[in-house]
Amino acid sequence: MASLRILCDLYLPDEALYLWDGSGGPFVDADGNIYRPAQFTDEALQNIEAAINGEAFTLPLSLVGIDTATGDEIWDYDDDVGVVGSSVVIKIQELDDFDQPVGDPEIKFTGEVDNLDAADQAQDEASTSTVAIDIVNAFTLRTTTSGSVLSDVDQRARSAILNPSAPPDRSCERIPGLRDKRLGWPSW
Amino acid sequence: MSILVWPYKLLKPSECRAHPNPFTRSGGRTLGGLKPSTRTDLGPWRIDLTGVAIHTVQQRRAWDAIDTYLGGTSGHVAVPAWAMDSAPYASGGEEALVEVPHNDETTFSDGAEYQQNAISVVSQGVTALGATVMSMRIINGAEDLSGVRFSYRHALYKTGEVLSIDGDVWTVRITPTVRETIPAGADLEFDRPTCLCNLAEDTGMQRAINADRFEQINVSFVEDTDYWYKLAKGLI
Repeated sequence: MASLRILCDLYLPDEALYLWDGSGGPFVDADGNIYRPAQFTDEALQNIEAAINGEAFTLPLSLVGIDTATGDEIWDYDDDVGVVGSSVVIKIQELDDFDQPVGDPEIKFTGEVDNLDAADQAQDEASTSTVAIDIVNAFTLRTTTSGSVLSDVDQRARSAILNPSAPPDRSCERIPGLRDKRLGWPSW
Repeated sequence: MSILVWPYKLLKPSECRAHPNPFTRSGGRTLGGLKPSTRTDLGPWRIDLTGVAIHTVQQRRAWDAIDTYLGGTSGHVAVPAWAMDSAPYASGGEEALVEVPHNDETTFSDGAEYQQNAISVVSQGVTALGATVMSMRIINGAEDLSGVRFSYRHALYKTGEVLSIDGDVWTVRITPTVRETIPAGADLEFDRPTCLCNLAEDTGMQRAINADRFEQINVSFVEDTDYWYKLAKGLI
């Protein structure tokens, strides 16, 4: 394989944005979707690699070279509908000797948009507009501590919602009594 | 949307460098000097017009007018990508554009005649967006279409190896990927290929006045791939 494309699909509530990492012309995948050239910043690419290797649970993805329309789209959603929660898929598409897609793209990372940040940076005489997207996936849960506590009150409230006509669920009623009990593993 | 074409006779560069810029990624070089790399981009064109000689008032005005029209890197202009040295002329040598008067030997009121390319090559079959293989039929031109440059509607391509020859129909590899669908039987521009470009820098067309009123300016352009994307998505 001499050639591949790094693809990024961003599924907004009622539209999909297709981007590929590069600066050539539009890229057409096997399904006929037209991808727009945009550049992931160097840091973003490293983050993708880390995400692909399973070391990262969140993926800050910065894009440069997106057009006004795409930027507007993202900004629009950020303002009104909320782009947060839209799914993002990073794929790698292998290409044949003629730079045409071979087989299905490999999905390398799937996550949801957690935060969006548009930034203008000035360097020397040029200014760059970037959109930074924070993406999280299910593995993010690994790093968070669950603060939930099993309690009688919660369980009754939950059962009242789940099954209003039935008497309250009593499965946790003895928990307050067990509060100060200790559970020890047997040692033989 | 109309596209401004660079006045290649008025603002003539002393050198025209046009080249696509493929991009590869690699994991680095080994101590032995080996560097396996993978291409992730066939690249946009970059065109450098070096030593554009400016000495007449018309040239100065045209230059400044184009500068105003472009207004930095966001404007685009179809820039010449000279290929006269390698173009497939039927005679083997460089030929001028063919000019023909009306059939009673009269010209248009301003003295102009009908103009036609010396090389006539048309596309064979439809070439889809993103393709890198293309068939073309030679009507008038050299029997060799590998390693030549042509454009279609200001999208510039370069041909590579020949994949098959069937009579006068040649199937060749082209680079970069096709920017806009090329319909069947479309005239391909081999004589004066052009490429739709943005300025490489906002200040790329700045010029000055010298005491001897003769100036040679270098200006660089990069292909406007944004335009092709918008066109493909129907946003223009």
